[in-house]
Amino acid sequence: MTGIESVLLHGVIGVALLVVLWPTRSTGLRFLRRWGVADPDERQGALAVKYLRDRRLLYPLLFLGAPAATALAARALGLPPTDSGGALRFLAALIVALLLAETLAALRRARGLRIATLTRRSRRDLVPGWAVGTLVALGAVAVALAVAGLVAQPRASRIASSIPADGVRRSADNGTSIVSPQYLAELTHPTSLLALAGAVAGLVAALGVVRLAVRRGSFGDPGVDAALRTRSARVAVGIGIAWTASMVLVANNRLGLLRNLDLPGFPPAPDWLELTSFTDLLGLPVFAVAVVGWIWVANPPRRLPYVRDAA
Amino acid sequence: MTRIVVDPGSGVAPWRQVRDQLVHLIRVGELPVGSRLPSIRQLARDLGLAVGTVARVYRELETAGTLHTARRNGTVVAAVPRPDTDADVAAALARAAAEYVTCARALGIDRQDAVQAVWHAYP
Repeated sequence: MTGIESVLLHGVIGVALLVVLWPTRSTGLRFLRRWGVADPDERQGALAVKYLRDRRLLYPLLFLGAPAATALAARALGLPPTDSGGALRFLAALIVALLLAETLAALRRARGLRIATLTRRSRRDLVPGWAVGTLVALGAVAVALAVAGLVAQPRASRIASSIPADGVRRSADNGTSIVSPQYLAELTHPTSLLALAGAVAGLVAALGVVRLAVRRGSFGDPGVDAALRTRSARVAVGIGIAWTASMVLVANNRLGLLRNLDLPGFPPAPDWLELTSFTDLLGLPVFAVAVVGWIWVANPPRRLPYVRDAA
Repeated sequence: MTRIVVDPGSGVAPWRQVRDQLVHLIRVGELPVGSRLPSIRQLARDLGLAVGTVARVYRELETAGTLHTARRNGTVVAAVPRPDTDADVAAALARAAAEYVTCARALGIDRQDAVQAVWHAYP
């Protein structure tokens, strides 16, 4: 698929999502009931519709922009363009949409009647500590694995640079090893750096949305306001968990490739790199955590005390 | 959950509305002594007011002994404010009347219609 085709496909998907998810009056009421407002009225439903519309209008723009942004980044880093990582680009587009929408909501000037509840509000009211802890822990693991990969990278780069472009290398004992051009390219790909940047950016974005959800001005009706803050924060953390878990898998796979790099005539991997072999077991647990993160986002608990008390 | 409502179009200064509502809520027991109030920044953001406006209210009420701010616990209700003296009530009423007259004049309303509006508004 060419670059233009990929961009157009993402744009079409973004528009399709917008059409499928376009909020209506009944959507707004159902949405509020799901997020803890017991018996929402029409006026409250209209506020929820506005909230959903403001966010979903960003989808086509961001889904269109995601492949273009990754293509530009690839070019800037001197990397070949790639169609892989589609799921990651969608996740990235979602989290950027959330961050942008929350930022715009925080900057919006208040109009008309202003209503404020007289209770201190903190992050703990919107999203449980264990969820934020999981997000940060996954981010830390991704960063650690990516840094290990960065430390191991120079060895792989040295090996790659000593192999001719045709991939055929004769060793000192006249043995011959053949390395595919794809594998050579893979050895020099800055995957660990990208995983590190992705993990840090994902953490900052997710925690940024949570902070904005706590700090932004009131949305009018206290019950709706509490529900929308809670939803923004929980969705951001859920997506953040899925994203950082993906970065763990990307960084871990990279580390595995670097650890298993063993060509005749080259020194073996250093001892410390061999010790990281236990990370081969991370794949399934991290995947499970990512799935649970998504499920937790899609299904808010029956009781949301903060929303119930505000309504 | 106890709440405050600020109407920018009411003609009463926003800081006054916040102060008067806080005092009322404390007096009627909806904000008992020891209740923690939101931070100045949170209340200012939620009401769309300048931080200085809310800070003024908190400062006045702290000076009056109604609120107390400790670094760790934030701002809490310290005491129920004393009932306004007759002089306080008269001064507050005169202030409200002056603001109402300013508003009515700006709308081109004569005295008779302004008084009628008060009659209708009074429960």
